Amino acid sequence: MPIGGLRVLMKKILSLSLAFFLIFLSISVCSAQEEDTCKQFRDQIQKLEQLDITNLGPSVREIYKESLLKLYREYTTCLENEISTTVKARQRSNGASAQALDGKLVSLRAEKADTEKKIVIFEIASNLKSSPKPPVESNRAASDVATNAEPPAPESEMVPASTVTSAVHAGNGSINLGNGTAPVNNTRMAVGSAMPASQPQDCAASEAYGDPPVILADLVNRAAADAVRRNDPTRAIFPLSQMVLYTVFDAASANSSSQLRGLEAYQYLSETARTDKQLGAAANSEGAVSGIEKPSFARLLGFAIEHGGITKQNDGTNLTLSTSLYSLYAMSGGDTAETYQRAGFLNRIGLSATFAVNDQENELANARRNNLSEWSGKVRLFGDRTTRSARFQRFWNESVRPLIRERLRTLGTSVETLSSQLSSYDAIERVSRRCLPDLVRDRMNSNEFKAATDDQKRQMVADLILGHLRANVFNQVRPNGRLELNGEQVAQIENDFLPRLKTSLDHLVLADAEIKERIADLSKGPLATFAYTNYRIPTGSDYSETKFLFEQDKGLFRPLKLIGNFGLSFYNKPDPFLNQERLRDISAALSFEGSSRSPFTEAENQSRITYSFVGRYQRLFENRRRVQRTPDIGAFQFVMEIPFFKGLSLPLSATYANATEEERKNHFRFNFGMRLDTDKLFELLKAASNR
Amino acid sequence: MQKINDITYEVKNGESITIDVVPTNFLGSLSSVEAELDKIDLDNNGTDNAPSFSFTVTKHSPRTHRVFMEFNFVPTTPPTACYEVSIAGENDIGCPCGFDICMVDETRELTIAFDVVD
Repeated sequence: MPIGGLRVLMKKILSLSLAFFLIFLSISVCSAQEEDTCKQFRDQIQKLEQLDITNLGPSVREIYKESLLKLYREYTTCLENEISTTVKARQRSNGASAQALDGKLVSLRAEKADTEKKIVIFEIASNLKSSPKPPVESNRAASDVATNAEPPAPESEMVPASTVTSAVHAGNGSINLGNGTAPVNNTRMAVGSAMPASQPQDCAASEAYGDPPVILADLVNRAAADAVRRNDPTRAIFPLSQMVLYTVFDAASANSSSQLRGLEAYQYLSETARTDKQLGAAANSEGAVSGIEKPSFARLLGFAIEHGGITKQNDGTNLTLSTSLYSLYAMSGGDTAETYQRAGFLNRIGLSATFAVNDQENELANARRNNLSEWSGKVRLFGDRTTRSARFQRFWNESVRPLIRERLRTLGTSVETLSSQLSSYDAIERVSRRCLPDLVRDRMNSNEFKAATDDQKRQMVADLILGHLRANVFNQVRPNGRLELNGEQVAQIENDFLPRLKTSLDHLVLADAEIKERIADLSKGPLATFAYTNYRIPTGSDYSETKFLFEQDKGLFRPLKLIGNFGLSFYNKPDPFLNQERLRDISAALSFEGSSRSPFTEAENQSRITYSFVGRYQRLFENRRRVQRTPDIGAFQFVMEIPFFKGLSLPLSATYANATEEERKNHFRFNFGMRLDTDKLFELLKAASNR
Repeated sequence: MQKINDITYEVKNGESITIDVVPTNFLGSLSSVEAELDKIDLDNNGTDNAPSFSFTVTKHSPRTHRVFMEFNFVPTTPPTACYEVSIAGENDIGCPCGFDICMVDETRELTIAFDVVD
């Protein structure tokens, strides 16, 4: 066989072997993922990164890239879990162990940031993600960086210079892009070395900021999103001082840039988990899924405000309209924090009315006297689960506020120091504050913008802001630039401002976890309400029911939550021919409720599968001495709600009872339905748009 | 004080500035606003339910006072909650001045700039 043919054969064998190896690799890592957290991913990534793929065919290179990208992504998820676990452990520890965990957290976050940068590089290299065309200057910088580079790849395969710079800043060894170019080595680039000469500030000047630090990009994206959503260009500059400061940090030195790029985006608090909501009719109505009634109602009624004082819920069988005295009170003065405080007892009282649905077309047409099946009122007796409770406010004021202030103080001190030392700092920001909204407005008025999707619009505004920052701030931090920094100022940024910023952000991450824990605790305290319900029976006697509802999570039965109901009901006008007396019945119900993680929800959705075992007993006095009836009615029930994606959930119940109110007969009943929580859906969509 | 845009104002040395915040639609959820003037904490002269921050312009032209603010929404906050911010100085031009930050907004930290002019 000729030598050329042998070489081709060897190459094919090598390619096939590598392909099998890659496939085997991804399978083995997947199966072992839970056993050995992130170490396996780390090892496998190292092995793959060290492979020399320059002699491989394009299809195997493609498999190689996809395998490595998949590993990077899985490794990032694994690191996220490990960071979360470590944060929890850090909260429970102190002294030396706390310090060790702090160190571990720093290292994990740096590792995660590095891996995310590699993902970006791969995504761009694989054309998975659109990237702005780098300017010619930047391309030159890229070739300067890749000191070991072989002849450059075609332009379509080039990685933007700023992305390469990011990899360099990550400082974590070489990354093989697998596109035929040589690995990018850990070489430092002198920041600003390829920048244009000094020039007066030109607000319209723009240069692609190909790889902005995560903390800056996040801030810009949020501002751009608000500008687009509100159609208000000024929103694009709301956090301008922070944007300018981060850009200066990024440009000051390779060290400061690296430190800044090690910071995660500042995350605001949000929610997707809410398990204490009970919508719809009372527990014993036909459409109800659960046989027990929860005492919480304030939050549900709170939504009455959004809908002009009254909220409605239609489950197909019943239409329930709800309101609270507070929502009515607030309709005149507005629902401000002060109004809420002034309302006092009114925010403890809720009212609702349930109507039978027989007109599916016009649901509000069902809200008439003939269709009224019940109306009720609830009063919260004791237990405050709101974040306005004195206990939570004390925690917030003592533990959280100082940390929020610490971060603001760090930002303020940094800006104030730099602006007092650099004569052009205030001037540059001043010009940007005035001209940037106009530039954004012009962009938003362009035909291209009007024809774009919301995501594209946000990207356009974000690119414009970043381009402005790059040209007007980043490029001015250089010798003879308007924001030229001396060695002392660079040292202060590297050794004081950035470490302080990092510390304050780390503290807030810990505080965030504690806030969530405290809020979870709020819903576990005892809560008691008194409920009055008036039932309208078209073919019988109307009656009223009084109930004491109690819920306790932090009790003897943990991890199960205890919910208890005890009630008496009375006939408004007892009918002696039907054996009725004033006292209709006595009832009691007890429920043990638990929860577990749901495998069916999105990663950011904290909704849990809830399940409960309910026992209910009712003594119905009119059934005494009547054939085919029994006064003692017992029921056992299993209730479950399984959350799915996008706020959808499946509530279901299975009930066994020895009789009904009308008949002594053992029976089994199965109920199920679908529920859409629009609040949860809103939060999930918002979280997705933030990504 | 002269309004340039919602978060940029031109002020004079010695002028008193007040920033009032009204949290709305928070129901039983905690509202919390923090403010920092340049590099010192700006104390709340109002109440937790109606925060108010004030300061006197001490810098000279062409310097800038910056008020860094963060508006917090704890996880139980209804989606319609907002902070309504009003800003007042002396002999205001272009006002009423201010803005709102709502639960639906993605930016919850900002800087109000008070550019000192002669």
